[in-house]
Amino acid sequence: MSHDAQRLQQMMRTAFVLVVVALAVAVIWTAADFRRAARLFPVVAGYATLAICALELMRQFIRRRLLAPEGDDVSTADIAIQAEESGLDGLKRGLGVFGWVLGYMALIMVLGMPWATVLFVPLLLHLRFQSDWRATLGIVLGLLVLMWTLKTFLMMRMPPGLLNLPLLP
Amino acid sequence: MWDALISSFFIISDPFRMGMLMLGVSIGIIVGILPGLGGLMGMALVLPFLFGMDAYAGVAMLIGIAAAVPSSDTFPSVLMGIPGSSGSQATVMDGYPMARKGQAARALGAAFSASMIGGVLGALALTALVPFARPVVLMFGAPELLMLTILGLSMVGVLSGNRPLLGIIAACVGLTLGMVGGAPAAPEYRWAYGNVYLFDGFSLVIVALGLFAIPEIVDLLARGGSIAQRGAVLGSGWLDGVRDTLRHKWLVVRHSLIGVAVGAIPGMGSSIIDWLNYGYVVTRAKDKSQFGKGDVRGVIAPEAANNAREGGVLMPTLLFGVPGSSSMALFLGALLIFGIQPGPALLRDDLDLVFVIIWSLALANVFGTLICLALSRPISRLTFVPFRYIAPVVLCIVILGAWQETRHVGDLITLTAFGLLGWTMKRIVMPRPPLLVGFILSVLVERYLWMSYNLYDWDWITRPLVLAIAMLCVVLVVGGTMMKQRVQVAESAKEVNPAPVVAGTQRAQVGETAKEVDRVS
Repeated sequence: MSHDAQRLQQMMRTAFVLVVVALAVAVIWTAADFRRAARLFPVVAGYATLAICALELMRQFIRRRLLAPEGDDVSTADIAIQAEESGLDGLKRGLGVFGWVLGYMALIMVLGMPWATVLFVPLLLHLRFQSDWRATLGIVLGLLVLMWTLKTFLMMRMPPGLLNLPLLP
Repeated sequence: MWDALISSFFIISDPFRMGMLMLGVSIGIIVGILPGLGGLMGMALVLPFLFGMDAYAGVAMLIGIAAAVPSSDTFPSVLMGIPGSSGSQATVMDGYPMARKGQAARALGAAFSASMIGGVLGALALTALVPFARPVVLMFGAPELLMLTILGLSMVGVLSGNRPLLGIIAACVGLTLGMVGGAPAAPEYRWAYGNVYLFDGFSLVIVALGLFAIPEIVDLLARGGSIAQRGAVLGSGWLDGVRDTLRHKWLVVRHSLIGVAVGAIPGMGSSIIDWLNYGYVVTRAKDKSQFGKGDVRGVIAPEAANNAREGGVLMPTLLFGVPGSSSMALFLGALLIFGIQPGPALLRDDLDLVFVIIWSLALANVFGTLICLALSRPISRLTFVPFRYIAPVVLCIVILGAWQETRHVGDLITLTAFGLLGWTMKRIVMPRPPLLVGFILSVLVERYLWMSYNLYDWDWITRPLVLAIAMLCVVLVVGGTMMKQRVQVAESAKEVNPAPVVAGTQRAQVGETAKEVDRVS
């Protein structure tokens, strides 16, 4: 991982811890209005969170400024991000794709699941990936068959959307 | 007892009942493969068809569903990094990296064979423990249950890699998110702001899908290509995985027994058992370097425990009429439909039915695993298909799975929000599993803490079983940290000074050469 990518990651991690601090303060502050039995756990957990965040911020400061300014390698028991995706370019690419997912969600909320899928899949595959139209058509048809099967045999409901347009029987 | 065991085998061997068992297994496999759906949904689906059905056939079908889901939910966990159900979250940690290395078939083979052995051991344990389980289960009061949840929380340290503080912060975020909605100890809705959707809090299924599925879909699409890395091969298949399971047979036995024991405690959901076992296998392993990067033990342990758990969950369900899990609540409902009253009288009056349930559990595990093993090689080829063709299908299924929770637009918003949170955490290397563990245990910790305090004041701390579990927590945390430090010291020593080994080898080679020269001369 490049030095810039590592710095970006460190800054975002610090920002995340600061957001958690704000969250903990908000939890303690708003829990004051609750009954005692409902207040006890949030307050205890909130103060514990604040203490741990303070320790982590201190650790980050000491390690980055004093001990190892060149890097602060973190490895956790989680699926690691690929090295080529860790920089600013990777972040932009990821945000772009996340925008597509958000668009799909918005389409579902307005048009309902089947129509949103009929619109979203060709748009994604052609505009973003320049895919073959036969593959696109196959995937759209396959998804419609899957939705119909799930609806008919597993009695699953589809998000109807605001317009509630009928597509599947 | 032996008479009942044998006669119940002949009862379940009836072709119609066996057919119903196979139908249940098939439904369980389909429901397990679809991310976000679980045994609860599968059982709810067939419940209306049980009226008027033969009780043994109906029970066999339901157990078939319950037993097959923990096996087939491994497919999405391993192949796409998306938990197939709440009980296969930890399998993602090592199963998915194996798939990315082109070892999907091996991971699936190991998972399914461990599942089968775990499931059969669960059934055997249920058979053996039926006469003795009652007093054991009754030993667990609210304080002991609290300590067990804290034992689950102590696994956060193990799941946090070389930055325990980051893991604990993530767990605290999970605890906080778990507080949203109705308070377990008081008639109060916290941070719901009058929104009916938030009264019940966030759904575990949506949180898990958001944290793990959406980030993986986004990253794979952004990177391009297929799930398996370029140049990887499928591997020599599922037989390697089966061999892995057989090589780690004691691991399978140990985690199956843990699965049964923890599963027998009502309220210990499959996700808790899953993470508990993953954390435990990491703690106990001598070489931890490959965990999270594709260590087959990280697949075997949670999968064995996950299937064995069904045997444990049936204990309180059958013995006390207390559902051990949400799907067992539906199972209890089904028993009532058949006019069967679960509880101690069941053992006295209808022992045949108890053994039909046990036989169904064992057979369903075997059939389910064989079907999944047969499917593993063709399905694992999916990891070589360009992900842009798979993404729309997976995204569609994930959204549908999330939507089934409450069928409210809030499901979609929550899924997106947790997706963004999970993606951000993945990018900044904040561990996500501790957040999920904190979220799962939040309600339980609060409930049992309040119950213990109300019932025993602070005297509950001195109860013997509480102290024993507390000791276990300390041993696990301290032992895990010390072992981790030892491994780090050894690794850094190796990095700093790799010379002695090489030099030694070179010296030996030089010595050999000198001897040869001497001999020649």
